[in-house]
Amino acid sequence: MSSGTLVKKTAQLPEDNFTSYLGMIIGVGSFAMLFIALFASYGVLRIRAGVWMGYTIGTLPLILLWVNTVIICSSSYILFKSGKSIKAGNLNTARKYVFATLCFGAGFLLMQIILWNTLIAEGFIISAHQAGSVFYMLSGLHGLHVLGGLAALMWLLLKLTQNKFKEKHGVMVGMFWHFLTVVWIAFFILVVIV
Amino acid sequence: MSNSHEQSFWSKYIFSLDHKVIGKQFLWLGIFFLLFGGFQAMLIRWSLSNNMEPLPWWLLGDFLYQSSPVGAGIIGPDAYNQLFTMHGTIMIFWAITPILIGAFGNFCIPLQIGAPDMVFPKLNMISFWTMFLASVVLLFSYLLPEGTAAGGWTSYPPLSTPVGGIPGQGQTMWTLALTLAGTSTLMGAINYITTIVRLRAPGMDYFKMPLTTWGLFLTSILNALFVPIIAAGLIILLLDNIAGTQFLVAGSKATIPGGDPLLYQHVFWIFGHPEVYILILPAWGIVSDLLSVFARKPAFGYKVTAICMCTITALSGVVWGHHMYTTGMSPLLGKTFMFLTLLISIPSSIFFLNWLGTLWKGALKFDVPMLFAMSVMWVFGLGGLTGLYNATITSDIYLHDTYFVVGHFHYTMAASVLFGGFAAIYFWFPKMFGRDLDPTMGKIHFWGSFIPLNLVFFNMMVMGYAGHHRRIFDPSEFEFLKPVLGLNDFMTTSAFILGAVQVLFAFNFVWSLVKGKLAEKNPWGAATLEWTVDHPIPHGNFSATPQVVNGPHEYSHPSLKDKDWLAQSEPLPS
Ligand SMILES: [Cu+2]
Repeated sequence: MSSGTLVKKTAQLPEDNFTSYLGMIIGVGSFAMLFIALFASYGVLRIRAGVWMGYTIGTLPLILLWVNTVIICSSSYILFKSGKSIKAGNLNTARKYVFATLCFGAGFLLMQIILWNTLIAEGFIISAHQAGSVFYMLSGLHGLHVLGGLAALMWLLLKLTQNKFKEKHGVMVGMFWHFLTVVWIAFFILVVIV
Repeated sequence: MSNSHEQSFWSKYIFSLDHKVIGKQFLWLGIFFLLFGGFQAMLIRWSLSNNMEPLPWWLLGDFLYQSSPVGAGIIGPDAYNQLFTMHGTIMIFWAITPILIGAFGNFCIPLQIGAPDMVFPKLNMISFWTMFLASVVLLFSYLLPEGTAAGGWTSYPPLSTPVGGIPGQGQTMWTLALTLAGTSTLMGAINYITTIVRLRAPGMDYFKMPLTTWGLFLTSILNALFVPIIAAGLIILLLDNIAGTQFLVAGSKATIPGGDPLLYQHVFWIFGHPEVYILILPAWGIVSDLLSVFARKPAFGYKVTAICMCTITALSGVVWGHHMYTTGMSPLLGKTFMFLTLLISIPSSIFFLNWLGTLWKGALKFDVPMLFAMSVMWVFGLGGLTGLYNATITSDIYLHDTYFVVGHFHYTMAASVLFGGFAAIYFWFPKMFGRDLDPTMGKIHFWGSFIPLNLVFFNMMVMGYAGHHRRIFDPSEFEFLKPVLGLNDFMTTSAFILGAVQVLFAFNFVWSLVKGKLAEKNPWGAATLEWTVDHPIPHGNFSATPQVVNGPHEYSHPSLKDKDWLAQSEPLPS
């Protein structure tokens, strides 16, 4: 196959930002549909249940949940700051911010593991009652997505270090990470507080 | 960057980034599972007519079910449950989805809109290999000691949950495989939508796109919206199967109070009804285009057809309750769902009339793709009409879960979508592989499929009306089915003819690939952009980005002299 033109052709695919953002928006939108369906399922179960929480979880897990909310919100804020630095052309500062986000994200996941362990020790397990099942299903799935988010942040950090960075990379990882924060806030309000 | 771009066998045929190669990969996968699922249908028919009798040699005899508890080569009740479950699952998600969406979505979209490739080629490749992994997981479940999933293609709890359900890990594997297949579909949808929005050639407005691309576009939107919903259902089901939760378990066997099996039905059908349109929209688009090509005149009411398809897409998200009339839903809710469902018949009828309008006074050419396209009008028309009885509460309460429903969805999903897929295969084969499919074998395949298929599926509805429940293992056991047992055997014979003819199709496919007549550049005289490129189409498709000036159906324009079509990128001669 004489494919002298091949390399040129493949490179012809537009590299414009909006195309990538559109793909990312559809992707994140689909994840949103997934979580909406799960939150709605939780709503159905909870409305049908009458009494939902016939017991209280310990003070320590509750504190951990609050702390985690603060951590993930801060991580989003730091990533937002990194976007500002990128816009200002200050890639070095941006790299530090992304690294900080990564640390906060990893910290969040670590705290989640501690939280799950504490709760299990208390007897709040996945097969104990619907409240436990819902709690672990949603926080576990969110945790898996955070793991994916951490991989994305590492990829971003690598791009920044290797100077292969493009503005859209930051925006796309940002969309996903902020989405995870929003899901957590929804979880915290709908499952923990209400 | 080097000028020569040598591709190894692996990067050219296996891990290719080229949408045309990925499309072919999906086509091979789909045809494999079509034959696999079709063979299961033969076994089902054997069991329905010759219950508990050993399989004959031409259904592989006692090579199958060697360790069956009821005797070697005999399909017992448990095996029967697994058969119809996997037949449905495989035909819907592993045969017609990869053929229509995976194969023709990939092949047609970039070529028809004048794009060099899909916008995210790597994602496209990952999408295929995720589907491949899903297939491996699904096939692996045949090796499990208790066998595959057996709760029906819908996998309703409690049949699909460990508490009070069917023993074994088959359901878990089914759930995992379907989650992977859904992920693959979702990646495809992201690619298709973004490609259509961003990569249309200059001049290719939305209302200049071929209807095939329109259908695939709307299908992708539905996929992006609703596949995540079934994913939610599958996650819940998976946790019930492996983590000891009881989201979907209720009643005396539940150890955790508060579960709800109906939750799954809602989640399943919120996805499941759009899924019907996910499958049929590409077929509608293909048929709309093909009727125009083979009637040698522009598609009647092109814009209206596109708008009707959009309307149906929107409505399909709000009618899922019509699958659940017998679950004891409030009558007001039931009537609302009934009203919304019947509303769909308006846009459906409009574009059906447009199809007739396209044919009206056309110079019809009955090539094999046209035969299949026209047969879609018949089978879809019949499927659509019988849908009204299922949509209407009063008749559905009697017909629910009978073979009437089975006949109805085989007409709409199996016959319409599959014949649309066959039309597409016969139509685009020359462009895909550079050779023609043998038309004589094609015509035998058509008549040998069309007649027996109607004999099977129409009589399914008759059997259902006579009261045949869709999951009965042995119809001869029931007094009220005695009068229709002759019909039952007749359907089985018809089904075997239908199956045998598909072997001819598979033979034709492989034979034509090697020995078929070398194809012309534009054998059908079609106007859409894919027919303007020479074979073999290089990676990157068009040597120069086409400038689109015409609609997709410029046929028999009065000012044309030596040919009767005008490619979309070809200006009208002055
Ligand atoms: Cu439906």
